[in-house]
Amino acid sequence: MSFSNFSEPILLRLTPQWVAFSRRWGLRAVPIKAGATLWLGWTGLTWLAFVGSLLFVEVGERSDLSLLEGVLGGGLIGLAQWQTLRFAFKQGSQVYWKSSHRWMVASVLGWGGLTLFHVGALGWMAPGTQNLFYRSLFGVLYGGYVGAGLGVAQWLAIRQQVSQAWRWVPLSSGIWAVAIALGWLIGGCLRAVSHLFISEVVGLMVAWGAIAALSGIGIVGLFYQAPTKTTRAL
Amino acid sequence: MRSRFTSLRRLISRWRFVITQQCTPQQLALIPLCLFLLLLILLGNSHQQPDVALIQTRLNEAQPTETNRVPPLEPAQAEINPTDINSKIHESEIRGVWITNVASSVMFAPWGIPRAVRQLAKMNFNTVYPVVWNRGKSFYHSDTLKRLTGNAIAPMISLTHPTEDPLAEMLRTGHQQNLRIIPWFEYGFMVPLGSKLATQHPDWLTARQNGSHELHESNLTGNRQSKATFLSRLLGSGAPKSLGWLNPLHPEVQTLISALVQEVISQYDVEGIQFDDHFSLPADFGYDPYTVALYQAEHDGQLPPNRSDNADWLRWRADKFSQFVGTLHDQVKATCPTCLFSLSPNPANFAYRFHLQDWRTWVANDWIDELVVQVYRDELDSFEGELAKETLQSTMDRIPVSIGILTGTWRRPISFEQIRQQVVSSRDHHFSGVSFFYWDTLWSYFTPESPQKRRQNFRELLADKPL
Repeated sequence: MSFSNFSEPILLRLTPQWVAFSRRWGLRAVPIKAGATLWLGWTGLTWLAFVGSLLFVEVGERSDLSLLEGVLGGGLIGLAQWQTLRFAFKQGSQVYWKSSHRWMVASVLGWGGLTLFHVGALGWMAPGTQNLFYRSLFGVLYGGYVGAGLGVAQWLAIRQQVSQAWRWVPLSSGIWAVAIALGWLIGGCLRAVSHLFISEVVGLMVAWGAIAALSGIGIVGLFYQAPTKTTRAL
Repeated sequence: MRSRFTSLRRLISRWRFVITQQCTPQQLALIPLCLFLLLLILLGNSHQQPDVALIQTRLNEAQPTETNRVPPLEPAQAEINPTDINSKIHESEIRGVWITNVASSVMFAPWGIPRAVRQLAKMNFNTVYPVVWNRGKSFYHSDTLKRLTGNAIAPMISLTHPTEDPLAEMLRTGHQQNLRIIPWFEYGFMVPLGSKLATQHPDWLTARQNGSHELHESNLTGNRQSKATFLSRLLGSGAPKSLGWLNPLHPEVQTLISALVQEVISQYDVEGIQFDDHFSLPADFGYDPYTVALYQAEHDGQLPPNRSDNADWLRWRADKFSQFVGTLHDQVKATCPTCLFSLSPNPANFAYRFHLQDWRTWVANDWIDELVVQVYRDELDSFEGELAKETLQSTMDRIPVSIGILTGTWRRPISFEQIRQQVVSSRDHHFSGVSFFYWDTLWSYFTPESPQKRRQNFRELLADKPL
């Protein structure tokens, strides 16, 4: 039995469902090269921005981080993502290109707001507990919360340019929930072995890698949809 | 006045027109971005503690005042008298820290030294022992090493500190914060066998009985680490694979060490100099041709005993080494009478038996002004046992004695609770103070607790005995 003989019935079965799903959510094919460039740029620059932010923001346990550190870190991440969007849409959609700076403003305000609400700069924070179960649980809860908060701020920035931009809010929440839980879990395991706090930093680097990669997929999907009729640039 | 006000209004309205009518949204967004970047640059050097202290410090540096003047290098013109600082600190608890270049970025990052000094002062430290001699390289401008090796300063340091060497920077920033700066000759007589000093002067190296110049890990037992792995060497900033030992009895080696010390005390406004357990001769060594010939000359041609731990052979080498210590002490005092001759050895018995460091005799001869004994023990009972030993107690009657406490290494993290217990115990035993090894494991990512928590703990620990 050849591979095509094996896969054909499966694909035939899945295709109508996928087509229906795509129609329902207004999804369409993304140009591979453009999509891959945006994803790679987004993922790489977001992660590098986090690493760069460690020069200015000290990773700490909950309540250790200040508003300034939250704004600094968020600003750097937002700056990197803004530049990615600018570059990606320079030759393409002028609508996105002209309004991409809003993303950075939203990121700064989002992180600042979250710090004010005592959630803190979660992306630079390690949990106080060493228990791996609680780390995962709190990672999902806090990650989901912060992801939703950031998602709302960023949705406000893109809602007029991007079709069905509200989808970004649950997507961001889910991505942060999974990524922070993963990072805290890895950080906890490493810390148990090494007895060094640097383990938490490594865990957060993994978390940010996951956030960057997953949110990159989401961004590619979102930004390559048809703009809304009410779309306007600033 | 009115016309000035009118022109100001015109200027503002003109710029408002330019900003609102001619700037694109992207350009408008660049304004807060530029302000944000400016803030980043300002805070960048503060690294991990964004506050206004650095800006204030820089302003003070730029505009020297009567109360805050950069200390000149010439001791004669020094505004801060080392004697004053030394006596002031000896009246209170000594709170020192060693700053090394091994497994540490402090010497290499441009902001490393100001940041470290500022944080230490804020945490009520009063003494810093910055490394100036390590792996056959110096961390200050040394003409002696320039002549011998071609490098006046460690090459990487000259790249990251193009205008001011680390020792000068440490002194400038440290004295502004009233810190005592006592340069630390970390490697003493130890050198990498691959270093220029060792390869160009193999006759300066001492040898074991089998003729090997290589130092065994067993020579550095006690407070030292176990065998270095590849990972640990990597983490140790390129620690050399094989180490040798300059012969402390060799006149040319003695001249080299004396010259390095003289450079530091005559060209820099230091409060003293410090050697540690590497300022010694490991008991396995001493079978090099020079030492053997010297021994034979004094023992009717007899060869040294085969057993390196032979009591007479230990005593003979220790006495020879002590003679050099006495000479070096006299040279230091002749050049800089106020400079302290500080020593940070292992506990006395170990230091003598394994390193031929007879520091009891040195103290008895008044060659040592300040002792910082390394008591790197994990168990509190063992730690307190060392503190209670008669040698330390009797030394305290003569000179200030403080206790060297290990705050951890990358491979051996130490909890704050252990540090706290040891500090409290040292205070209970009425020692003059404590010194921590080393800066990077006081409060950093390479500790068991978070840096912020660690800082908070140290702040509380050092706050209950104000200076």
